[in-house]
Amino acid sequence: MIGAKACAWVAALSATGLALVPTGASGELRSRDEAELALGEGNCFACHAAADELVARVQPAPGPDLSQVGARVAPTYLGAFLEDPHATKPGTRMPDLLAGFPDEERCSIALRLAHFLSSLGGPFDATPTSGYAAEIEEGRQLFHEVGCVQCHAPQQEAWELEYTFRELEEFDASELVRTTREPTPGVAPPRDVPLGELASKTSVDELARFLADPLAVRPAGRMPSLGLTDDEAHDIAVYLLRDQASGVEHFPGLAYEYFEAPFVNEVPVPDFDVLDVERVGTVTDMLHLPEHRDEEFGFRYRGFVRVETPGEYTFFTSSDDGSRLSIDRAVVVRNDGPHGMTEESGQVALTAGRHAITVTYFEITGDDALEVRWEGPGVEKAPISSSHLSHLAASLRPPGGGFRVHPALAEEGRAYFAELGCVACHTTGDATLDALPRPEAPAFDALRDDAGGGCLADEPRARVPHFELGERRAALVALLRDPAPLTTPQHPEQRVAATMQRFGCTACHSRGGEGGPHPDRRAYFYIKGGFDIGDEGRIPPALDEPGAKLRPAWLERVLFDGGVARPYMATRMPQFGADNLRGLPALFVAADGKPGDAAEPPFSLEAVENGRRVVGVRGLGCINCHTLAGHESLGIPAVDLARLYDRLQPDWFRRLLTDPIALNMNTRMPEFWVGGKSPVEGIYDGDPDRQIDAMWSYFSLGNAMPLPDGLVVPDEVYELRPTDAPVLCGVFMKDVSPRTLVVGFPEQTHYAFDVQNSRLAKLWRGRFFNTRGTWQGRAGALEIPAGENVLDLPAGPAFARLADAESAWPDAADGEALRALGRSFDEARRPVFAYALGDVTIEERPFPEVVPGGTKMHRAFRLTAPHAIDDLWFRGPAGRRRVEFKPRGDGRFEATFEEVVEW
Amino acid sequence: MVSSILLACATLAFADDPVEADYYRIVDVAVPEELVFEVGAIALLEDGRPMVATRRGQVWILENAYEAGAEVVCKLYTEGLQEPLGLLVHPDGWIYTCQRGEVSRMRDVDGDDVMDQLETVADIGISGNYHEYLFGPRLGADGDLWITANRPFGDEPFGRAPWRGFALRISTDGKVTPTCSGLRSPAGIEVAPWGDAFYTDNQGEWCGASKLSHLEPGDFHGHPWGIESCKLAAWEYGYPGDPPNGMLMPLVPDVIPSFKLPAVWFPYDKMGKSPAGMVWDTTGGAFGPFAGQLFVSDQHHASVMRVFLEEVDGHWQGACFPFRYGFQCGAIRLAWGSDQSLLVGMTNRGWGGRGNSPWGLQRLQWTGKVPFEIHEMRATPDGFELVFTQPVDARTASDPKSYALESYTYELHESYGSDEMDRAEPTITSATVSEDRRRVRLAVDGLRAGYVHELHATGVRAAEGGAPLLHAEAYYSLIRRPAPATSRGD
Repeated sequence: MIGAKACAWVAALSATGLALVPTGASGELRSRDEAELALGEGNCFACHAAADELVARVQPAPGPDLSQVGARVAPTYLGAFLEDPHATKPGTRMPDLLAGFPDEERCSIALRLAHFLSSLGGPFDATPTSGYAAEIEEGRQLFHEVGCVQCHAPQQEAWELEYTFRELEEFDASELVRTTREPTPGVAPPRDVPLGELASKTSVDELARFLADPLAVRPAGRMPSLGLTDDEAHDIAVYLLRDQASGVEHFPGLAYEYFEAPFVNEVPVPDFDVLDVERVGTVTDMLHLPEHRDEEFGFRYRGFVRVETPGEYTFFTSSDDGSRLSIDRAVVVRNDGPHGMTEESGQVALTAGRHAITVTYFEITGDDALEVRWEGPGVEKAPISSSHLSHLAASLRPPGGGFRVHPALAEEGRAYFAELGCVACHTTGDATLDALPRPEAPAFDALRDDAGGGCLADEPRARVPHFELGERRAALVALLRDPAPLTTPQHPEQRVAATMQRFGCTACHSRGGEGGPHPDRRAYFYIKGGFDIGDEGRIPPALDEPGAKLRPAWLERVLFDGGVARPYMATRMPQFGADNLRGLPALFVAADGKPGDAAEPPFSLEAVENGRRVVGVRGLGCINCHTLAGHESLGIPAVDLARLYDRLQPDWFRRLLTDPIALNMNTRMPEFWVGGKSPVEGIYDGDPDRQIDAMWSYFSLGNAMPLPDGLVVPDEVYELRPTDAPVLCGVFMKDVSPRTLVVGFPEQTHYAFDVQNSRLAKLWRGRFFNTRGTWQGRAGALEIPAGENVLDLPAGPAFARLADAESAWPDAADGEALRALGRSFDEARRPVFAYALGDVTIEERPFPEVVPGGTKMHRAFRLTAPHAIDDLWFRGPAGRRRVEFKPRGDGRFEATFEEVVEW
Repeated sequence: MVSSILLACATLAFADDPVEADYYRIVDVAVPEELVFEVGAIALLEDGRPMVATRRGQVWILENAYEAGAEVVCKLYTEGLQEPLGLLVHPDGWIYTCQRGEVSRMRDVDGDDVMDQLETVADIGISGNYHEYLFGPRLGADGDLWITANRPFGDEPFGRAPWRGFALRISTDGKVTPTCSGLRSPAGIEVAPWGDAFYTDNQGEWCGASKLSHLEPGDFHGHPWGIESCKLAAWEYGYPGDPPNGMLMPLVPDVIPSFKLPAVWFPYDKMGKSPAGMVWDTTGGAFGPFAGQLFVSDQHHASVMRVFLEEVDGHWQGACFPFRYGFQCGAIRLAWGSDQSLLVGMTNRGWGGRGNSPWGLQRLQWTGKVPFEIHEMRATPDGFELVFTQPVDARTASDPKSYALESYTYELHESYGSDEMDRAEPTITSATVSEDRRRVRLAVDGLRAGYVHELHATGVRAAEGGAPLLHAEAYYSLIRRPAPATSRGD
């Protein structure tokens, strides 16, 4: 069946217009180095025997492990790829073994090989996978920020990532700001490792599995692990395979959206439409909540319930806290408000077929649970089974459906696999194949006599691997003719450079001014959380002298154990496999290390104390920018000081402090000892050397460092306590506005006035306010009242023009907005707010009154208008009232009234 | 033994060289220690008392501020302002300020030094991000108020507000006119004595080097963060165009005609890292020899820099010079005291830098001695003219080898800051000393418009005493080159 189409695969796949891109990481190489690199990347010594030293020197990269390839790759792709690897995946390292065969035979062999490979771990599961817009969006961001695009071509321009997919589609071109990167004059474009046409190659699940642990399939480490979680790998896979989307289908279970919000202000039922979705996913049962945080979260499940027998159905929700269930958009179960585990139910008559179902659920605090059940004709009260639940999603349909391995063809393919020497590069899990000897080929030393022939011949020959080396071919031929350089011993520096090139380290890290991010790719490095840390927060550090800078143990942790010094950097340090880079730390030390310079300064408790003082805010203020043992800094989250001692060598630390600019031109780290003078004169008489030594002694305590002055300030310091007069503070207030004035009274009864929208927003009693979020560090936190009995006044404006008492009260966004005019004070220095609605001027003076049993808040109003008005209404917690204006005698009209809020 | 003798000699020589403190003395303003004096703004009241707004939202009136050693008395004028970073004592009797989301004005009605009335002059949209600061206002020549607005970084919990990353004008009737786009972190704004507005911006993404720039209606200053707002109806000058990412700055105006090159670039680290407040020297000489020039504070270097400006071919440009280092910490505000000393207000909260204090207020006093400095560096058609504060020694000053000149420019791009790009060393072919020995004309081969010309006049000596310059460096941003003088004809 597939044989007849075999030759068409190539045409179909190669018609996709993929640009021809050369293999390799970024950066230019001298041709000889390039050729040497090619020996390893082409795995030449797998066939051509060479001395052990030479093999070790080039660190050959064998091909992928094929023991599960039948499950991983669609059979159609396998056939097409084998038939013509260079056309199917331009730039692939895989040589063409069939190039020298006549067309017909080539198709026939490729077909048999495809059957054989599909039998390894197969069959390939071509079942469609659901794909959600949110997953594609997340995968798109991850693909472009975790580091993939430093080796592979980006699929979006950096400016496009400032917009969501939907915005890019919906916005008019004139609404977009496009900061396209201009090609840098004189710089070659990045050399991207090709991905091929993934949508025709594999499925979401298989690609995700590969991305989560690429070393399992490709142990040579050229494709490193980025430490992706299963969810992240899934999202990237959905994004990369988005072209498989082939319409919308029902998938089993319900789709859910997960929210995080306090919900206290929104009971009995939250309005999920106004909240940001934290995560999406699917569930197959309605008895267990998907992953969530402990408190203050919610879920909205949506999809369809399938009814077999028409009739009256009862739905039940059992939840802590509240939940609701709707069928076909009508509420059936109301289990509203915060409460412990409570069951509620409701009936609805349903026809046979699918009906839309929505379940919302929220949790404020305490225990959490949600269970949904149903009961109806022929259905005992029970959970709704997954086969009765479905949801709609884009259907990502992998290729290769309907294929079956033909055992006879597979057996013939196995014979070809052995005969063609595929075993030289690939393991299969087939013990007999894997034990086969190296294919027959001239020893490496003998190649000089036929340097332009064999694998490197222009005209491919049957059974001889055919590489598409492009510019590298000539360099390789030259090297084969004169292989002497391969036996010239390499300096450690040369070995470091070759290793960095081989594993693509230079795509992110420069060394000695060479390599480093390609200018066209720098925009794809990001800082998490939008902190203003500059390029040091997003571009991986130069590896100018890690052997002299870092302790060997830390180098090993970074390379082999996921050690992270810069948690704010979005791009991740890949893991290349410990076996592949085992020798690199020692090489760095050999190339960079300065033995003898690494002596530790003397340690003493006195030095620790002095170091502590130097680091604090009355010293050099290191903690203005640096985190310390997990305590946030007062500003940006620069590297943790408690990790320095484990990471850095003392001599390098001294050089950094003495002249930070010399180590990194653009560092934002200040040089403190300008002209050899310390700004901290009271410690060691300002002697910079001794101060640096003291800091080192202090840092040596790691997480046990005593806290420096000014880092951890007790809440007490930021607490505002009105004692004899009102206290005012301007803040960003959560759920109110970024222009909010909080006013505290000695009566311990306080309010928040929203200046932005000219409305009294919150009242409370007890503790007034803690300013830490507004007064510490860069501040700008969304604040909340500190006290108790918090009352939220009705949302929207307190005044509105209405046609009659029954008219709907306008939202803040409707009609004419209130406009802030300012504030003055009464005789007790209590604020009097002035604002306007059209030509009506309103003064509002809120003040507490002490009464038996507690306090009330008075709101004294005075309104003036240039003409008579009879349609102005006020709304407070107690309801609406019409404002009665009276002539003032000067042609203007005035209204005064007082509203008393009791709560 | 030998080395310690050499060391001693070196120390002696060093001790003989003039130092900044010989000419300008830093004096503490001793505010009570318990006050958190994170200075956001300083203004001088009509009676000469300084008024200081803090980042915590308090406004203080200071008494005894000019008496050395005296305990300063701080009177609380008001509190509850939202991070006020500017104060303007207006001729109309009000004191204007900027809070995060509005321009406000305040007054003390009954004369008890306590604010009685605050009016909202203009609402400025705000999204609730920590980096949304407003700077100013400053009074323009036509009575308009000028303010500048930072771009936010990260969260915008109340939705993205327009006009962040802009300079705006507010007319006397409260109308807000967005005026210039593309600002990044415009921590200082000032109106020159001749009526033009200038602002300082901090190096970062889309801002290759810290700079002082002239603000003219419709300018685009390089940062694309907020230019979506240029597609709104309230923007009168048209969308500037999508900025090229990775282009040498002097080439950008060809692509974006409204792209404004700065008046002065402050090369990174050589001239601070975070320029902030500024004042023109309006002391008429009471503060030393720099009347009419501009002083700019640097938050990171805890320093004050000096700027000379001239108008060349319709563009304001000039040179910056080091002036005075060694303040307590991040110097963000400057204001003249009533005794013609320079008040320097400081805070390093959230932004680290040199120094040893979290906040501070100091004064810089002229000692009456004139330092030997490059007073002016002017562009000429064939090079530069240097004007010195004292007569120069003709032998050293006329030797081209006494000078070193280098030129470079910056790239407009999304990365944080720019390297010094396209470097070259123009040749000084001659140095001609004027008759009064105050001026030296440098003839230069290889001048490039759009480039910083970094001069080190290390070999020049004073005529009297033979001292070297107190600061031998000058950085001239040669945006435009003066046209060759045309012959008068008749």
